[in-house]
Amino acid sequence: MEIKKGIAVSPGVAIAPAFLLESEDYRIPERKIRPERADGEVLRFDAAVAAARKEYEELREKAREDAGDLVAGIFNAHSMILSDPAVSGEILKGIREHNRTAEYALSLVMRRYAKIFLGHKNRQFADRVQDIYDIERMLLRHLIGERRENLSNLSTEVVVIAHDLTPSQTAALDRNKVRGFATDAGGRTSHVAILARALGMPAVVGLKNISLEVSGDDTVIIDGHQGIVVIRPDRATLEKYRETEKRLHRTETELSGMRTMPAVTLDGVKITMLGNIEFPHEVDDCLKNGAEGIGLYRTEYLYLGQDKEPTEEDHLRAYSEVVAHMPDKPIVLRTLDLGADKYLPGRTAEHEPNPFLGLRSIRLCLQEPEMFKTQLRAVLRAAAKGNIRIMFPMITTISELRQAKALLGHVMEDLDEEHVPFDRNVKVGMMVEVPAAAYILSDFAREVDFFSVGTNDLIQYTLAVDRGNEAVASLYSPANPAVLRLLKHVVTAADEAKVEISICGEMGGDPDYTLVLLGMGFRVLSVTAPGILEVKKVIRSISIEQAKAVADKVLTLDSDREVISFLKETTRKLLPENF
Amino acid sequence: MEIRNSLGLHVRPASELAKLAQTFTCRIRLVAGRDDVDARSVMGLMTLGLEQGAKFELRAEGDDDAAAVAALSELVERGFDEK
Repeated sequence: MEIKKGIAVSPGVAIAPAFLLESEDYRIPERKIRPERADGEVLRFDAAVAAARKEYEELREKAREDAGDLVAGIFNAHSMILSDPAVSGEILKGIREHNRTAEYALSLVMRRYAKIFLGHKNRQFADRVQDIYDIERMLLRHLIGERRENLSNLSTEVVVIAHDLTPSQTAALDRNKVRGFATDAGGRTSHVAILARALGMPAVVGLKNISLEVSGDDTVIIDGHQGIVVIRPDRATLEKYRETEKRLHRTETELSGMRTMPAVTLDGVKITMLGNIEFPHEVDDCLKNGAEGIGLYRTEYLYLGQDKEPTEEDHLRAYSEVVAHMPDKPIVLRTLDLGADKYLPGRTAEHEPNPFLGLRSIRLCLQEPEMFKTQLRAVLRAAAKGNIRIMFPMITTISELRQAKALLGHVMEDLDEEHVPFDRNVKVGMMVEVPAAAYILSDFAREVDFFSVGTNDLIQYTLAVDRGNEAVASLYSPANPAVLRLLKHVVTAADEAKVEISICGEMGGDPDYTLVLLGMGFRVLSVTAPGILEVKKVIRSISIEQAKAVADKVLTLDSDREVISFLKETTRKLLPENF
Repeated sequence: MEIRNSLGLHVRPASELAKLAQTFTCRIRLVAGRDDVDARSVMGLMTLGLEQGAKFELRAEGDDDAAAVAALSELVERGFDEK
């Protein structure tokens, strides 16, 4: 058994065999055999080795012709490893003494050696690990052949283990069979984190080398609460997690009863629940849980992991799909919110020392008007087919807002001239995430149709902390008194100006803060599909009077810790069954 | 004994050593510090990660052990014909 610690990015518990996703997607179909099959298994292994050796010879000959003896020599080494008595001895032992399949036996042995090589300080030796993977893949290919599985046609439940997961790899995954994710790389905002939260599955990232420690088909436990992954758990650990899984399932069943319930407090105040989505298919999950619309439709994935920028038609296709899933309810579409440095295809931007404070989001869009107009054209055209609203992220000054609206105006003129149908009366709003805008919100109120508070970034900018930086991440807290007072200021200003305001950041979906947010005056929350149920449960168990009392009290406290402990105590009294 | 060549006991010399070791019938072990591997195993030799100047022992036991030690030491002394 091995226990690895990483970053918890999506809660829940998953217990299933590992599906190791590598570039060739080989999944080990079975781990164990009945003892009487051992001889047959050994024959399979020998046959695979013979086939691999033959292939290496062919490769060597070809390499010798193309590139000479020195290059060809590497295949000699691979061949030798195939015939290495220690290696084959261990594999055969695995088959005969431990009743393993040839695939599982070979994979375990190769990974063991890989781990040793990776431990070498000398780069030259450590790099040899690639040879081991190559040989493993070669042998697996000869053993498994046509029985290959990939994420879209799994035969059993699995947890997906990989170095990293790209949108294209996960695009077609089978949601009924995938139970969770664990990756070497990544942080809270990486694709796998967002995907896992949207699917309501546990995920742990930043594990550094989990993909090397796990062999295909190992039993793996993913603990998305504590950020722990257990490989090949012993019986005691397995039992403990099965209990946790049962308990979580009970909660989930209770929560599913919330799906059709209205989000109304005990004293009859209605809260509008909206959904946060990234992909069109998430709309259905939100609707199923009772969402009355989409409060945040993130569009960055259209740009990520692509070779070139999306065209107007690419945008339009995606937006139309979302509208098709939800033709009569409002959809708030957020324009591009990325930085140039990492994510935009085909661009070699200079390395920014502080990308978070740099040329990103609306700032980038205003500097690249052609790119921005492409998105705006598509949004306006899609708005003709449904109830779409536009939201500009990271607005810092009134001037930026006006520029963005002016550009939108130009695009409307263009579409007019081209006689392309679009919605002239589309509602335009902005995200409240930069403190500068939060402080003078009333000035902005005159120029927008709605606000939405992006608490994630608002908290980071206000507390000057990068929550992805493990060294200081503990400073990040929605319970920070300055954050709470700023939020109170914001909702009060919006109410006075009679402009709609919602919360679309994570804080809105965190049931620990529902009382405070409602008590301050927020009446619209946009959260992930699973969050809708959890928050509704709280809403239906409290009254606005109680919420106001809680908010008033909390705003007088002067540390995160006091706030959190007061909120926990209060929730315990009002919702005893949650404990 | 000591590794002579500059790149150490990487994959190519390890293959040479293993190949040569396999031509003898006696048991041959290569011992370096706490590690003890079968000299016939390329993988085993590589896991030692022996760099230039690293010290180790060759132990052979069996019919042709003297010949084995002589041949293998010579290969190592020659730096596996590398620089």
